[in-house]
Amino acid sequence: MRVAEDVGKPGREPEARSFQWTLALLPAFPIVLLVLRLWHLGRQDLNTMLVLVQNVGPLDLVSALVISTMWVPPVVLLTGHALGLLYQVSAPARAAKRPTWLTRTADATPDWAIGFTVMWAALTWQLRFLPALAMAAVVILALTVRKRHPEDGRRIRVACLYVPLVAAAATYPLVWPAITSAVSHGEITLALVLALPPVLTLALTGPIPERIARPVIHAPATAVALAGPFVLLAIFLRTPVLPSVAIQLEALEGESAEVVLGYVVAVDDTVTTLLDDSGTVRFVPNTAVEAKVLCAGAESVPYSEVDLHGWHVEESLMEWYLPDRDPGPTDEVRCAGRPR
Amino acid sequence: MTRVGAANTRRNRWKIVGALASLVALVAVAVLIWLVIDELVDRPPTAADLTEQAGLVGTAELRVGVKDDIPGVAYRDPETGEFSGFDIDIAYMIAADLGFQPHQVRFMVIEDEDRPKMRARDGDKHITVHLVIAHYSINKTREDEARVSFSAPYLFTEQSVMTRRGHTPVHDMSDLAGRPVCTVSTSTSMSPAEEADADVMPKQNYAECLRGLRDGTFEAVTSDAAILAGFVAAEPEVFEHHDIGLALTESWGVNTGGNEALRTLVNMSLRCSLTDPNDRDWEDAYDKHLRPIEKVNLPQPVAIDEQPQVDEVNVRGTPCE
Repeated sequence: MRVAEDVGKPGREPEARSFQWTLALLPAFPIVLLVLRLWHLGRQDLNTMLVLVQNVGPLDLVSALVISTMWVPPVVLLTGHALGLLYQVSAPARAAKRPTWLTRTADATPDWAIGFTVMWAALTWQLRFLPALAMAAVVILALTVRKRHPEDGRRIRVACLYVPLVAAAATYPLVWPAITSAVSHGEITLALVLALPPVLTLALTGPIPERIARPVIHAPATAVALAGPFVLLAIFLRTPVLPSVAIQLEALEGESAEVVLGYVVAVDDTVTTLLDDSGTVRFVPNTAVEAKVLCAGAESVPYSEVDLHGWHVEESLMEWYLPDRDPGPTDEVRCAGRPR
Repeated sequence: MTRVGAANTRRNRWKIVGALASLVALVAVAVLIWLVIDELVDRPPTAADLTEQAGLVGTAELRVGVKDDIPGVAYRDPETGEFSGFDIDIAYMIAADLGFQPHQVRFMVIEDEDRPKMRARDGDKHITVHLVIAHYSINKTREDEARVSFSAPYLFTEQSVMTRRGHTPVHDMSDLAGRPVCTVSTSTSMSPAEEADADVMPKQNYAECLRGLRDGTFEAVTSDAAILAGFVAAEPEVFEHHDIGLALTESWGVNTGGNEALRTLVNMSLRCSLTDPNDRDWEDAYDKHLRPIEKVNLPQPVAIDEQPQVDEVNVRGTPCE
């Protein structure tokens, strides 16, 4: 509705057009991502890409895309919403007179959507980012109250001071063991990520100087919005979309057995189609296959050594709570290309 | 100024302070995001990444250059062809951590002068080995060579002197000044002997030195204590070990031939052996090969019976940390 209203108003045409462009590009983006992923998987060889297109189901790709980027929408929504509110609170008159894409996003997002996004993030964000999520949620709450009730000192005091204080008082005891563990392991960035958000929340619930509010908020937000698709692309290009396997072939007389490593593209009655790391497609006759082993990907190897009561800092609530696969033997020599 | 005016001024001042604090907090958030992104982008490699970078994926066997003529360190039984010794057990330990089972480790005899070149004899030709574990002392000159990249040390020993039994005690290298002393031509022991004005006679291997020592051509043999200790222990009635009190420590390292990823993996293996209380491979190797020969070599200690320190390795998901 807002778009329709804006289109009619003089001086709003360029912004409305830009918004429509965004709407048009949004559904195209995942498709471009998926095609680029296949192109990259085939090492930029068109023929290999066609083999992949023929055999890789769109659902396989979409599943990989969803799983690898599930944490992204809350980042975009919550950050955009908080920055939009911060601008409206810092420069209320200017924001009302000349709405920007950030303020429009903030106005257009209903409260229930923000609540839902926070819950979504709570499930999909890694433990180490949950204090930052709490910060974002409290800041959004405080700025919303400040924007809607600018004259109500009592409500502002509760939302902008007492709630952040209570949130900090609740967060620190919970994450304190992880902070001390991070410091003792020399993981300073992790310690800062866990420890700083509750303190910063207290300072982020108020306006910033009006004169510089627009550039300070919009310049980085625009830069991030422009870089965002490329970051997503980089993340997705590193996400495995095909299962990595090691296939041990039957030994020929007088020779030792061979192990073929690669990603399974397809299996039919006669051959198993494999794609190796160098982008070469190999067709292995099924009659020559002696054993097939699923190999673990390196993506799941965590960096940090810190956990909070058994909940590893690089695990999301969902990953921690839901039953996960037994990691299995790590010394599977066939995954290193050697026959057993 | 009226009371109301003063209150307004105070309020405005607080507003400015609050606005500046918010600005600082915003910058702090941006810096924090930057730090997180930097850490995510610059994640250290996993052991699997390093194995691939080291060129070990798909390699059927791990070729290790070792010695075959030093009892206690690396010795090949002439009848069975089996290798045994401290270096051999260290090689098995590292190979296991690299994902190679014992039958996938191939020991190849390497000459001292071929250790920097990583070339070992294979029948009628020379081939390149993956690792050299052949009592190779780490020093600056060797580290500067093109195909030498040492791991962290796996044994600390020192230089010493061996003579025929009954020789007058040798307390210092200068006791051998002007006397014929044998050493292996590539040994680091050459310099202290030369500095003491001994008549140093470099030979290709220890067998030649022992032969000369037996027949009186040489008065002494100088080398690392852990090397000489095996010869003394094999024939204690013939040979005698002397402590010459050199302060210089000899640190034996694994040469990975300039393969940085492989060096990191070897260091990870040594680090795991050092830090994992359940991992007793190093201790077992010492107890099996070097500790039993300590007594017969007195007063000269064979080596330091504790694994040398290994710095933390930058590998994601190191199994033993």
